[in-house]
Amino acid sequence: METIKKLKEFKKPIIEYNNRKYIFSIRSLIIFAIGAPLSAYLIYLFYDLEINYYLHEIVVKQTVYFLNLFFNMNVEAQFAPSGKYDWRFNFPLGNIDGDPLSSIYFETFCTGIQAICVFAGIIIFTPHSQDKDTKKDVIWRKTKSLIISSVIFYVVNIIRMLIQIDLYYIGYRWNDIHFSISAASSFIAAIIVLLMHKWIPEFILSIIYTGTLVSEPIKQKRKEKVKNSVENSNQVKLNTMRKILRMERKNYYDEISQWAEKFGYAIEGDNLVVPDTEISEFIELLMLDKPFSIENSNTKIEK
Amino acid sequence: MKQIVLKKMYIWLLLTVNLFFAFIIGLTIPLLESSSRYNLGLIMIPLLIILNYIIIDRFHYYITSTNRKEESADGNN
Repeated sequence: METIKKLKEFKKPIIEYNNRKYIFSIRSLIIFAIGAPLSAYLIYLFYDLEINYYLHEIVVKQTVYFLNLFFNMNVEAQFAPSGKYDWRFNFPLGNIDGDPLSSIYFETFCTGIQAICVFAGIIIFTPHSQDKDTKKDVIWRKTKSLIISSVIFYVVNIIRMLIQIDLYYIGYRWNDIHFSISAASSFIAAIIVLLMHKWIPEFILSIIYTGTLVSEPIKQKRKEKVKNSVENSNQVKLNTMRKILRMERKNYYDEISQWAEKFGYAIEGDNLVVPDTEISEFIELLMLDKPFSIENSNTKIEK
Repeated sequence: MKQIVLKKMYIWLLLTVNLFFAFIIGLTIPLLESSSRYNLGLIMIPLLIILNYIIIDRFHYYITSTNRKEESADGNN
């Protein structure tokens, strides 16, 4: 509760990307984190109901059409409801050598709807920016990415089944090809994420934004610690200063030495020593949004 | 003016595709064998109606943004 209160008081960061401003409310970020997985699961459950088994038929019949068109394997779709399997692929003439081939049963998971549901949940609940110009066309961008990602998933799923059933037909064991090719075809999710970033950068940016919100109290705490240390003993640990100045651990000593020289501070062992006359200025620069940034340091040096 | 005509044609195209989807759904239902075949229309048609609204909203967005651009251009002259 205390953390949420602090987060509300804290000045919100603004991410600028492609000439647009992205500011997200904490409420929308929380709704996104809860709503996206929950809605994805609920949409999947809805499509797994028997009232939506018409989807099985559409997918099976389209796959059968393309299997016979491309591979001429005389496969047929058979309606034989039993539990969660309403449809099956039958091979009346057997495999490529004429040997009998057992049927392949079709369930909701084979339609690829689960991938569409995950992305539908993400797209629907992706937070809108609080900037007026940025959020103006967000519904259109979301609709576009929802339709295009669904179509891509659908087509890729049909292609996946064509490859699997053809391999089965030419003699591969079903268990060897089923899971491996299904897993491999999920690479398409990465492409969809890239496409989504083109139309709704809010998705990736909201994740970065959350990271910024979470790390901000830690940064403030660190600044307070340095402030107290300098006020009490004129000294602060170099490693703490490295974190504040965002320097990399590797070879930071040279970099921090140059920085200290520029500002008139000294280094003794593992500590940075701030002269008495510089303490107030040190604290002022430390408390800036970007501590000891070049623009600020130049103005200070000119003074 | 030329821009808005192009946008208008784009919106017409989207609306036509949307209607075409509805037509395909109507054509598909009698060909299905599943007992739940009528649900295809019950699920898809409301989604197409929402899509129709979003396309019209997009046209409204085009008109308002073009008008705003023209107004600001007039103001500069």
